[in-house]
Amino acid sequence: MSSTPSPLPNPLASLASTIQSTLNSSSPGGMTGGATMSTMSWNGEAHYFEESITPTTVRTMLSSTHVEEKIKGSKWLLAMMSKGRDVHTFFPYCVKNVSSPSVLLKKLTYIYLIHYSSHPENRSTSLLAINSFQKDLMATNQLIRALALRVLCSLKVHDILQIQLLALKKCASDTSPYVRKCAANAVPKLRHFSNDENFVGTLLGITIKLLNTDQSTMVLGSAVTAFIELSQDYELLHGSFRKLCELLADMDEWSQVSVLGVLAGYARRFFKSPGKGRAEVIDDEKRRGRVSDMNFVPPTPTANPNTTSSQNPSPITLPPRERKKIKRRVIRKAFYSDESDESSEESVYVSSDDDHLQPQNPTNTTTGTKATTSNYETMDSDEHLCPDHRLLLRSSLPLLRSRNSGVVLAVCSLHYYCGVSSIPSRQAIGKALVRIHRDRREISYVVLQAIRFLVVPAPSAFTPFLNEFFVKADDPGFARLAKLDILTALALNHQSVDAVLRELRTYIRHDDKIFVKASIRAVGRVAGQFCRSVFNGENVAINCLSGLGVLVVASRHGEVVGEAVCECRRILQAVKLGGGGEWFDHGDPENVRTEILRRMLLLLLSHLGDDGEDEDILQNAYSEVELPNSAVASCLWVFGEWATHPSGDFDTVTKNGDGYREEVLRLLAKNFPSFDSEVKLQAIHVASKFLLQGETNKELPEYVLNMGCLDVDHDVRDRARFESGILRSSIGLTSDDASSSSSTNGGDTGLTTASLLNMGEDESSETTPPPAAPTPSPVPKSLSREDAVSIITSLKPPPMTAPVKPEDVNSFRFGTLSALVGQKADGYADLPDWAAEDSPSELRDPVKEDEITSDPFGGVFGTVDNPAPYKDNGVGNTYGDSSSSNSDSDSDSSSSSSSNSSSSSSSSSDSEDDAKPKVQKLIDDESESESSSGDDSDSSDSSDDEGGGDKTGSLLPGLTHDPPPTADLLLAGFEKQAAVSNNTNNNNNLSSDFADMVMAPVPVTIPQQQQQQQKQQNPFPPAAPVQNVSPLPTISKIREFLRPAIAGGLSITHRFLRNLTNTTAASAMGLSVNTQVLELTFKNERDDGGSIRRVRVLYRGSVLKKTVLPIEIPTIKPGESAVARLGLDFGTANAARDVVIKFDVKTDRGSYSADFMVPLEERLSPLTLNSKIFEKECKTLGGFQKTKLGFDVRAGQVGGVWEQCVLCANLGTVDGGSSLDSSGTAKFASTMNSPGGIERMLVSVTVNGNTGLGEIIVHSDNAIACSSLAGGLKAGILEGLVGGGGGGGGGGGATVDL
Amino acid sequence: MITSLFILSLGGEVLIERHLRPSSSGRTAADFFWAQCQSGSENNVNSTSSENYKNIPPILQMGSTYIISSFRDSLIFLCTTATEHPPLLCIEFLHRLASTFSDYFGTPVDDELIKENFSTVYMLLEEMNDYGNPLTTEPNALQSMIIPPTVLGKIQQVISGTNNVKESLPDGTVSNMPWRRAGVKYAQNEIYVDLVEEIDAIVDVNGQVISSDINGSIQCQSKLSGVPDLTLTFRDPDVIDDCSFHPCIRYNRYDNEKVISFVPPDGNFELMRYRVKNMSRVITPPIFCTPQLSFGGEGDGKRGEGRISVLVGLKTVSSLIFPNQKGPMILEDVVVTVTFPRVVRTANLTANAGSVLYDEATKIAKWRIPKIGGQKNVQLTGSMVVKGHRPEECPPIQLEWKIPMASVSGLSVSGLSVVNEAYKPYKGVRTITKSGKFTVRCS
Repeated sequence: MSSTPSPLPNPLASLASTIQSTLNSSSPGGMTGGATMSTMSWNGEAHYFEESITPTTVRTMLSSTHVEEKIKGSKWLLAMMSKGRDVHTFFPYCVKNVSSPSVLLKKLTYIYLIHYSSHPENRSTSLLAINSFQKDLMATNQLIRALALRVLCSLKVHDILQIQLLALKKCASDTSPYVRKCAANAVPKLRHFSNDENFVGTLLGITIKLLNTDQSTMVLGSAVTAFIELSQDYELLHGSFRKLCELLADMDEWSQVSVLGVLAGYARRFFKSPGKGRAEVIDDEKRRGRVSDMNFVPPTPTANPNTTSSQNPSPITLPPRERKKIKRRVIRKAFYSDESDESSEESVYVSSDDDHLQPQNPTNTTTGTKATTSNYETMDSDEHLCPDHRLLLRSSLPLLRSRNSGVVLAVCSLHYYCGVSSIPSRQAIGKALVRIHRDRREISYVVLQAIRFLVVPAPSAFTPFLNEFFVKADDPGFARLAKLDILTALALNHQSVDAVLRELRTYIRHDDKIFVKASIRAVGRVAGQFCRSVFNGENVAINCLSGLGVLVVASRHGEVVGEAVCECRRILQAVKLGGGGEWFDHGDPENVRTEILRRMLLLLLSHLGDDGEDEDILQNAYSEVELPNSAVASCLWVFGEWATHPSGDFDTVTKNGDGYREEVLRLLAKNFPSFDSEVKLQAIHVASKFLLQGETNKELPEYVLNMGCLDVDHDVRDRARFESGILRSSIGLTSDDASSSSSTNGGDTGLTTASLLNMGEDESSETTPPPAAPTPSPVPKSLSREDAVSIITSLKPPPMTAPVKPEDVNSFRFGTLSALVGQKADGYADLPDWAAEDSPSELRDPVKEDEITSDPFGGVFGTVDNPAPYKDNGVGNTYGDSSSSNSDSDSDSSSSSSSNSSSSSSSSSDSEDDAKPKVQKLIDDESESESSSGDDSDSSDSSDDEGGGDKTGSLLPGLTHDPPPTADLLLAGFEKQAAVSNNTNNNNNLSSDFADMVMAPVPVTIPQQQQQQQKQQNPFPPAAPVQNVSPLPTISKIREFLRPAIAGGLSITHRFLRNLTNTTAASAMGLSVNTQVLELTFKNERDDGGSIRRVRVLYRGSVLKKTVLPIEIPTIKPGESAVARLGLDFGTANAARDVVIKFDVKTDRGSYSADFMVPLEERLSPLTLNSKIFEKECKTLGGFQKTKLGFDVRAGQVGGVWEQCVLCANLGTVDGGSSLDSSGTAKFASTMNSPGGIERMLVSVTVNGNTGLGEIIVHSDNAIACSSLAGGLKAGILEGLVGGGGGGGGGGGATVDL
Repeated sequence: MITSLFILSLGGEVLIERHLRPSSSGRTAADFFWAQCQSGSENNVNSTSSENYKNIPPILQMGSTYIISSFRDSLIFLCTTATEHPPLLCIEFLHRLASTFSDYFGTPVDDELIKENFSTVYMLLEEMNDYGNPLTTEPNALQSMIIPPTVLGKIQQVISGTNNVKESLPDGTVSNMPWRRAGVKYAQNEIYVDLVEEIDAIVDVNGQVISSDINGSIQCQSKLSGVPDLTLTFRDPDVIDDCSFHPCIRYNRYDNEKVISFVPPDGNFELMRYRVKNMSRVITPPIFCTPQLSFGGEGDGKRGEGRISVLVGLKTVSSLIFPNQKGPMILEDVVVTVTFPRVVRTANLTANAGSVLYDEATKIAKWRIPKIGGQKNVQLTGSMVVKGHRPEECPPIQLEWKIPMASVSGLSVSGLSVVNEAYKPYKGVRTITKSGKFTVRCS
């Protein structure tokens, strides 16, 4: 309705709306007639702002029986709040409305309530609302539950802290991820209410539990955010580290930033430094090369990370476990450095399962470039990193594509501070930052500041984008200044210097004088850095000088001229320094310098003579420009240097040198008292120089010096005394009797040559010289004239104006608030130093599967709103007060967990077992108390199992090494396949698998449905389906789909996706549960090197209910490959047999038919059982329902049987086993869809470890399936172990390149 | 962690005040900020409101509180934080707020609109932020919780007494695809894809392009029922150098196959943004603009006078690519913004096409030309009165223009397929090229 804003002035508008609102109240049914316009306007809410209303009316409204009236009353209150009026007195009237059924009224009331609940008068009244919140916490609608929790926890009333905590705990185990997310968000709310250590510990426990057990990205993100506010203890993140990395891309953008920030700290704390990458080495070289031009202050290269971090021993002390000690050569230096070879051999522990951590080969650094280039490759790869470190880096890199600039910056920060400084990574950072700097004004501000920071240490990331940083017309002031700094920092070689100077030339005519001055300084900076370089036959510095000279003449802006003069002086100084003291004859055909010097002299004269006296010898051209003091000082310095230079250049140029000298000195002497201190200092210096030179009349300079000695400013006084002291002891002053007398005995200053020389070096710093010694020194030594000359006229470097001051560079992390405001904000923490060694990867093993399946909100994927999720029995106690946790004492692991939750909360202080990660403790407590108080029968089973089996029951993953972590197994699983299929193209392997798991929408409902189906149809007790933390492979073997020989060079291989990956993919394709998704890899293997175009797959046949075919692939270039997904919905087709499906593959070169079989093994759904049920079930099945097959493998390969089984068929494990048990038996269970419903398949594989003879037994209702599966398994085992030629062993060596 | 949120009108009136975390400062942050704006305008005499907000740094410090501001349309969004918090998060959040308001109340959002809908604004704030942390920010999810006000809805509200909060809250909010509303149904299924490419350039006084850069974005309007899974393929995806994606896009499909595979949100959204590969050749923009400013010198007796002439026209030979050209090329919506030097007192401007508006206070002239065809060039001429010396500086000219049905990068859509749904939607694809930050330097 605002499309037509009211043209009426305010009083009128308010009048009109008053009328309308009266109309409204008087005739509630007043929408007769077609007055749409009026309807609209009196329904708008602006009138709440305009009108005034009596408190009584509002009270009546709030207490009215009509919801409409109440809403109106609440809106009044909100409007008043917006206008800044305090309306807390209505609190009692408002509180009642909390229980209203109207959601709108409820929400309005909540907003009011939160605003005023902390008001002292209202604390007790707000208790009235508690009941209604508690009722809402039981609501069936998840949003209502979440809202109630949010508001309840926002009330700052101390008396209800326990109620809040209880509600929080309950919601933390809600079925809805949204509610759990809100629970995580509520943690920091409560955190701020109390500082009690136990209380905070409880909150931390809740958070860590969410982190470790929850699978919903929604919850994890908030849990991490809550964690940040509770603790800086990165150790607590061990259990969730991998999960966070893997799910990172699926979280919402806001959480991603928090997670990236926390993981950066984690990475620093637990991984060792990746060392210098190639980009960093090159950048260091570039900078050093440039700075060496300046001949001074070589930048100290960043301290060797190894040495700094080694002072920080890894805080993790784990009991020694099986590790290989190897020798490897460590290279500790940058490759261009001239130092001698520092590489040394040192012993490095390499955990036995990390094959790729083996040193590639001892690299030889003593020989030249050849070794260097080969080292470059190794430097840039991230293969030497700990796999978890690599996982973090690789899973975060895709987020550079986020639309949220905050995420992009966080990724850049993570990779800059915690990543390998390789060329590709630096390039990616540069590109992404340049991309987002173009965004809105505010974003651009932050990003430009980040670039401004980064461009100093890493210029090469931004060099390709030099032109992007040219100042545009609508850049705000702060952007212009940042861009200037970036441009100057990027001026590193001929072309860029050229381009930058050309730009600067246009900037100095800008409207904004602050910017102009900064530009002038930038010119000086560039010129100073390249003062000796000659590009295109022109000396850069001379070029700049001439440009500035023009400005000095042309500008009428005193500040600008002043700045230009100062920069000229700086350039002259730099040139002189760089050119070894040569001043005036420097291959300078156009006499640019002479011209500048002359101008400066004129400026000086006109400025000094500005007090009304007309000087005949000058043309008074610059009188209208008011020079700043710094400029006058600069002119004076230059004049002093020039006029006293022994070459006599001054006289040649000015033709009347003495006249000018006299004149300047006269003016100095005359106006000395009125000068600014800065000018006085230079005046004294000039006077000393003249005295030293000794040609002119000495009276004026001495007069100036004496004036200085009596000045009110101590700096001036000190300087004057210092210099006259030197002069006295070297050449003797005439006028000052006292001084001259002392100079004859040479002693009263007590200054020795040496001490003066030392001071002279530091002359530019205006420290006061040491006070004259009170007693004359016993051996008075007069200064020679040469000494005095070297002290007073020694060469000094021009003052540095680096774009970013060196101390800024290391102070704050870029992109942080602190870095932007230049001061440490509350809560800012520096990144920790790198750990000396990678921490063992077992630390980060995910929390045990058992724990997850047995936890009360087992359906972590569930979103289905359970109408009655709460029976309010023990749920509140779940997290247990210490007293109520009656953990079963027979369980091994409970010995430590019997320490109650209060100890867990304070476990940071006392931990009985150092090796045990703190989190684990918290979790132990939680899980123990949970399983003991859990209300379904299954959990008691599992807790039994925990206690019984050492393998499954151990809750200390850090100490045991049984189940390989998920990621590793996936890795291992894949590598084997890669080796088997000789697949050299690795683009589409692991990364895409992880990515799939991560990127594709997480299937939220499907597993739940499956679970329910199983519950309904399975005759045996419910068992949770395998979650994605299972150690089972998520992909099958690669099999052939189409051979290149028959398809004109097009090779297609396929593999089946399993478990979660499969359901994820299926739901992304919109297929139902009973679906198999295949991943097809298309590869161009044409011999003639041609491309294959328009590749498409068509389904031919009618067996399947539905297929989702991959879309057409436009082109596959030679050597390239593409990956696509194929979804097959079997419906209720008879699954007992292998189904043959026919496809046509069409390309631009022809059409080929591909028949392939979906083996039964792939069409199973894994099932997790415990062994008791397994045994019981097996007994009921015999005869036809049981198939036995023997096989024979080599004795050494027995260990691989288990893996081959799960690789070959989609099986679930019994008891969560992950290898053959002690008797050489492995048990698996699966279900299969068939027209008759779901049928279970129970498999046990036994193999004799000595002989290699084995046996497969399959039990199932479906006899055909039974034998078919047994056959398939046998073939698979044999192929994998015997026929495959040790594919399992070779797989470990294959590298995975993401 | 945002402590407080304020929305101010350009006049400094606090429209919305919300304290997300306990804070003692109350409204002082807003007052402090406003005082900064005021002092900024005093320093900079000849600029008014919007110009001088531009130079206020987005992050201000007030004691131990940091004020982060953002200007959108004609509102000022402020948030404060007392602790270290990624500043870009706050800024992005403020912009997300502003975009949400535009979605809800129409563009441009001004103080009137905020006041008219303040209770909805408060409720949106409540949903979008929980204790300083962003909560639900996807428009689709928000819309299923709080129905955007529409004219029809308002009438209905009045008649039936319902309100714009859904009484039965949906479950869809917490789906696995937070960006898409559940249960979308359309009688007519349509999807429109716009490829918008912007040329950023700096052109010097001789018409030479000093720096140029092409950024594109793909804007979509989706009106598709159910949960469609779309795949967008490009004819030449290699021109894309770097890109950013809406969260609905599957990153790995793009990495592997260079196709954009996504389940779209409902309604309008920005699918992706991209940067075009820095081509070695310099881009020739389709427009030329030759400004000439001359000021009388001391000698010629014309001190205090100046003349300006700006010639604008279509360049027929340019880097633009027309995939399916029909008829002659036409420049549309050309706006030439001339900022006069400060010393200029007044200017008297006339143009042979379009309309010129000169603002005495800001010394900015805006010359709008609806259309420029191939044949004739249009010219702006005028005289100026200068006080004092001839100006040293000559502020650059900004140009805006657009050309429909043209593309600079040559990126074009080769296919858009829908799987997962049975219907055949109507698909519309357009390209448009326009100016980004286009600067013409006068000296």
